[in-house]
Formats: sequence, C-alpha cells, structure tokens
Amino acid sequence: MLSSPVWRGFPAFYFCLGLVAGGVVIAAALLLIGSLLRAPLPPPVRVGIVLVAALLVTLRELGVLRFPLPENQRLVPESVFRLGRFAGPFQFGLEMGTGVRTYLPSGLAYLTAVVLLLLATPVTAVAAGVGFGLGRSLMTASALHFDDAGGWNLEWGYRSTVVRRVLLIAYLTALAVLISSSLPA
Amino acid sequence: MRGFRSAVLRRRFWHPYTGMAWVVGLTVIVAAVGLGYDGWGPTVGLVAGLALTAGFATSGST
Repeated sequence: MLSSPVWRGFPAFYFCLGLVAGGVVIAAALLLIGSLLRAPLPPPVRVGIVLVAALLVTLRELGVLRFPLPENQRLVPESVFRLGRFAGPFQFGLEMGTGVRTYLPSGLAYLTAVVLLLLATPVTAVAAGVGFGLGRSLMTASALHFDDAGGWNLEWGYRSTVVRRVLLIAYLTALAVLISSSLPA
Repeated sequence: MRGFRSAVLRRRFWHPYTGMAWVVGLTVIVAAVGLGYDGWGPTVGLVAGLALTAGFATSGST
C-alpha cells in the first residue's frame, strides 16, 4: 500500500507524523501502566525482569526459542483513506505507530515496552515514542524512495536475517549501557 | 546512462543496509556518549536509540 505514488509528498509526511504521534501515545500509556508496576518493585528486581525479557527476546530473534507474542494480526483497513489527504495518512500512521493495530514482527518492540514499563521516566517515554516513530518513518521513507515497484520490501525480505541480527546486537549494546548506568554505583 | 546511475545511487542510499547503518551508527554513538557521562541526557538518548532500533526492526509490517 505504501509503494503507491499517491503516498508521495505531504501524505507521506503526515503518515510519518502519525507514526511519531502513535509512538508517543503508546509510550505514555506504558509509562502510566508501569507506574503501577514500578511502585512495589525495587530497582534491582526491575532490572532483573528486563534482563530476563532481553534474554528471551534474544533467543527468539535468533530462532533458538519459538513462542508467539501478542500482536494484532490484521492490516490497517483502507477505509482510513476516506478521511482525506491529511487525516487519512495521519490516522493510518497513528494506528501503526502505536504498534497495537497491526502486525509487529520484531521482538525488540516488545522488549522496548518492558523497558518503558519498568524503567521509564516521562522524558524517556517521550524520547522512546519519538524514536520508535522515527525508526518506522525511516522504513517508510526508504520504501517510498527506493523505487516505484515495491522493491524495498523485496530487498528487506532478502536481507532481513542479517539486518535484524545487526539491529539486535546494537540494541543489546545500548541496553547494557542503559542498565549499567541506571544501577546504583 | 545518467538516469541508470541515478537510479542505482538512489537504491543504494535508500537500501535496507543503509537504513540499518544509520540506526546502528546513531545508537552506538549515543551508547558511547552514555558510557562517558552521567545525567539524564545520555539516558534519554539511549532510550530513544533503543526505540529507534526497535522501530526500524519492525519494518515489513505494512
């Protein structure tokens, strides 16, 4: 759907704006829910839960473990386009940006949700929402500019094993630094 | 020939490997900065880097 020429220009920008807004909305929701979880748990326990989640997600991403993660296995309906060239793409992006409206193929999104639930502050939650939206926007921009025939998705399909493993290593490196800096000295 | 070269360059610039390099590069830079400094700035950057990586990793869901 995103490879259609009608998506170029402002609709694509509004879609990316929606992705970022959706990321911030879900991060704020996780922060709110996490405030209930964080209260009874001391910091070392929270860090321990994050480490266990990181181990499980890593093993799943590497194909060692196989278990389903909760995801809404539906595409966003094309009826969102009836809302026009601003509201349609924006709503589509917002729904995708939350990550709860459609497929979510990477376990890293779930691990980020655990980090937000247990370790986030309001500022880091907003940063995470913006970062998640920008990450998805980079995919959108790349797919739109790569070619006019949906070639980016084919390339992603061919390269996804390598790309996802490199992203996993970078993610775990940053998570290790984050956890080491959040523990008391 | 020029159009062909332009198309090749465009495909290289917007290739999944290039996007991966941007995401990993930014995340590693922020992590390196986070190792050297205390305070909320590096922490915010690290969480944003984690989410950026997770967001790009969910590609293919459209």
